Amino acid sequence: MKTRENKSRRDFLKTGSLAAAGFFIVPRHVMGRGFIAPSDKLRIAAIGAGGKGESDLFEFSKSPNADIVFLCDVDDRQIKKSVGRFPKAKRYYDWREMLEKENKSIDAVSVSIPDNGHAVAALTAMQLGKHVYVQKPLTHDIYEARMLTEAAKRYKVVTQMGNQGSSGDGVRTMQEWYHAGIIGDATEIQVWTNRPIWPQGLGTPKSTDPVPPELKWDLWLGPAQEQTYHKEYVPFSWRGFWAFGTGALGDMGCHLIDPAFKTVGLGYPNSVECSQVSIFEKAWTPEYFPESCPAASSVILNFPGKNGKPDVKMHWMDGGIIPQRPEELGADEQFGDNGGGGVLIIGTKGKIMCGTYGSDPKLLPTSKTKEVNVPQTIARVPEGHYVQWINACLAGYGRKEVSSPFEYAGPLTETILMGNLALRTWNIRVEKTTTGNSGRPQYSYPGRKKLIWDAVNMKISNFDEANQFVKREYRKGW
Amino acid sequence: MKIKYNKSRRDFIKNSSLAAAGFFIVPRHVLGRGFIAPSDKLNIAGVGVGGRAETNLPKAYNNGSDNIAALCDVDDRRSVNARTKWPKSPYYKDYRIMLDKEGKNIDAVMITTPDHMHAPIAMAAMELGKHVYVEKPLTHDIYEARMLTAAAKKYKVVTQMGNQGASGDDIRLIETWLQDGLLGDVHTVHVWTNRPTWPQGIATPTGQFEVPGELDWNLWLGTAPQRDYNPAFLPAIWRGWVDYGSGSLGDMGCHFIDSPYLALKLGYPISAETSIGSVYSGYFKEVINTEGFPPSAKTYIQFPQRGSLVPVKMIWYDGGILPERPAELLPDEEMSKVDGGMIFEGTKGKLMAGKFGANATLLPTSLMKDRVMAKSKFPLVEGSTEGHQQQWVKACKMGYGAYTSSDFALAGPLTETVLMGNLAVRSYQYSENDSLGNKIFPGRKKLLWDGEKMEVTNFAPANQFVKRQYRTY
Repeated sequence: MKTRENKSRRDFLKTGSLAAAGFFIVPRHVMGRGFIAPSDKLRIAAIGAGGKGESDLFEFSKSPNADIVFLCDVDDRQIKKSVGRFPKAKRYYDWREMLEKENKSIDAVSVSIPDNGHAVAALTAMQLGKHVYVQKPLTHDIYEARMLTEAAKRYKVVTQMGNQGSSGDGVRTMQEWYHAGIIGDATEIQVWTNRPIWPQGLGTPKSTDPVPPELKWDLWLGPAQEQTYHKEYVPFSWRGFWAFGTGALGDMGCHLIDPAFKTVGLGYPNSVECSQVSIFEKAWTPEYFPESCPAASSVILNFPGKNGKPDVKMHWMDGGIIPQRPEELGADEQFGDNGGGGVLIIGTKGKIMCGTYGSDPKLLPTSKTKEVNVPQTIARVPEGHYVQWINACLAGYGRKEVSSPFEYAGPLTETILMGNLALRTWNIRVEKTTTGNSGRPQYSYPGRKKLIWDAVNMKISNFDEANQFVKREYRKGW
Repeated sequence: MKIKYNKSRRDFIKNSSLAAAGFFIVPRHVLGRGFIAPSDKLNIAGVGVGGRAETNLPKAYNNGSDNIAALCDVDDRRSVNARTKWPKSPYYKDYRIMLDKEGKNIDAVMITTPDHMHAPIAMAAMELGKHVYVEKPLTHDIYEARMLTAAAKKYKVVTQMGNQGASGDDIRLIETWLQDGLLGDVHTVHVWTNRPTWPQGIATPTGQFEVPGELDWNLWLGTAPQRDYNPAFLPAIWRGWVDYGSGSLGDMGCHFIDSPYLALKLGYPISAETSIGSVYSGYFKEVINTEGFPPSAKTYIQFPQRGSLVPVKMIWYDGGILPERPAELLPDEEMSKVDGGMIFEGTKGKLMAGKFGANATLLPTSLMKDRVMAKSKFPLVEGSTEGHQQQWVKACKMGYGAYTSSDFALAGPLTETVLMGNLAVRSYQYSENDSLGNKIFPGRKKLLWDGEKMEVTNFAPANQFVKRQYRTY
């Protein structure tokens, strides 16, 4: 991995030259503050302070040990509430400038911006020795997730991905059940979400709007390739476009796959296949919107069994399609949570079901939930996901456990992004030399098969074109 | 069944009073012409003569070996080709008038209209003792399928549904292999299609449009509820709207489910459970248009033990969602053909095939290497899938009792199964307001089906989808 790490560093260095300078010139021990006396407060700079960023900051500020010292956002509309809440925090538009100028006054960074900018912002901060809290999904690309996972170790910073459910009681209860052998060995996991709950899969918006004066579009794009502004992208629907977001999987995968991933102890998958809903705006000829994440999809990942355990198949469904109700579930019992999504872990001896964020775990039939008596062996996180990270940062690297450190969140995110790799590969098309009866061009779709994944080398071994989705090109200057 | 049958007759009579009159007044034996010498020509009327009928009618006509004795279409534009081909055949817009005027001149009727008119027209024709060929799906509603199935027996007419794959060699091969135990006990069948290949899950078309002079919109609507004309419904796109069509299942279900249905002698299902691809118009704004079918669906239909045959779970996928690739299929091997496919899973193996059961292969496909598969133990149909219409024509001449590949005794229950999927989809879309005014979806569960009684036993609102109200027109 050394070569790749170097390559990664080079890539990021090109983009975050400030960070790079810091990394090369300043010795590690003077960069971050290393161990911080517990009496000190953690000085947090926010990259992205609106929307989820806004609620993240609010959660951090509940800790008496946190100081929100800087706010960075590219959109004056989005940042309003946070500015009102933290009037003393100095405001920036460009996080690169913020990290350069305020390096010495920052201990930790919260990254809550569109997915495509997570990795470069987080890695730059980590290179400066900052602890980082990064919203889910950790990164946009598989390669970036691998790099951040390595970087957390290398720079010895405290990391947490923003899948807050991983600090909940539910996933801990599930782990205790699973470790006690109540459902035997997991062989299949079914995960579903009702997302996207906005229009998705419909191609680049057709709107032509001037960039609003409150928005710095160039900075919003971050490392994404230069492109036309459309009002639909901001502040939310960027999720449905591969240039910025990661679709339903990126939105909810970390919340839903997390409890199963943790409970069963999964690692890297070794194959992926998918299908997705087609879009017809007129009859007979499907629309082709490879830039859009699909409106509904079905993704199947295989995880090789470890230590003589069976392989585990994971079946992800989104956009309304859900798994069949298990036989053990009563006709009128709720499947998953109330419409949002759910997880079903099928073992050799039983089944565990839960909702989004690992909520409301149950053994099936549900009557069994109360019958089992498994001792609590895993510490709960009464302080919650945010405060847990703050306290761990203050304690220093390696001193306190967090629920979703990058060594865990990285492989989890890679798994989610493997689904996206399959969904994007599904849309690779090649024009046939012959046309059909209609005279319209005909296409073949060579990526519509089972993709075999070499996780160590981050490479699809049976369809090379798919590997373009492992790592994208950043915009020049990033 | 007697009571239901009588009820059905009343329903149909209301709507086809001409046919009804015929049924009551004219004795059976003078209506049809009974046995026809094979050298004689069958006199065939076409109702709905454009689109798919432009394949059906010429194949029945068979270069003049039989007569196209009358033509009927509500749209002069759609009937141009047929009228040009058979200029001497009297042409009508209203099938009721055609049956009244031409009743004595026709032996058989081919029906190729939108789904919602299949049953009223077919029943009217059968009541007059005419043999019928009805495009797939046989009917729009489960109840109608049951009625037509009973009527075929009652009126002793030769029937055929237009799922031409039923006359293919491949369906007979699969039937032979499965019944000979090639896969052991078959317990699971996956069936999928790429349909809808037209927009579904969209808003109902609106706007005021002038009805084209060539189209009789009232007759096009027929038994469907009154609605202003909108060009967005025709031709063909009516499939996506519940008043006229039956979605992906109605379009392709009869082509993909007929093989498992026949081979595994499935009969009536006992439950159906679905989920559908959602549609959003804005952030958090879900749109459920109960007037239309959804863009995609995944539906589980369960069949009970049948004699020595084990229960079967059938899973239907449409709109682009596919089954998992079988573990035995190599990563680079193709699973999905253009229109869809089917996979049978048994205790001793798996079999994968395309539309009409084409290119059936054991999995892994290496099992087929140098293997000699059993020949069909059932007689093949002359012309295979392309001989489906002529098979019916010849059977009509032989008279009731002559074999057709997809007579209503088979096609009726098959269509009911297909329509069970739609019943589940429409129940899934069904909503109520709870005491707080929130929209709830009580039909999103496994629906238990009493096949004999045609009734969902654990969710009463679903039963409105078993049988719809006809408009009097």
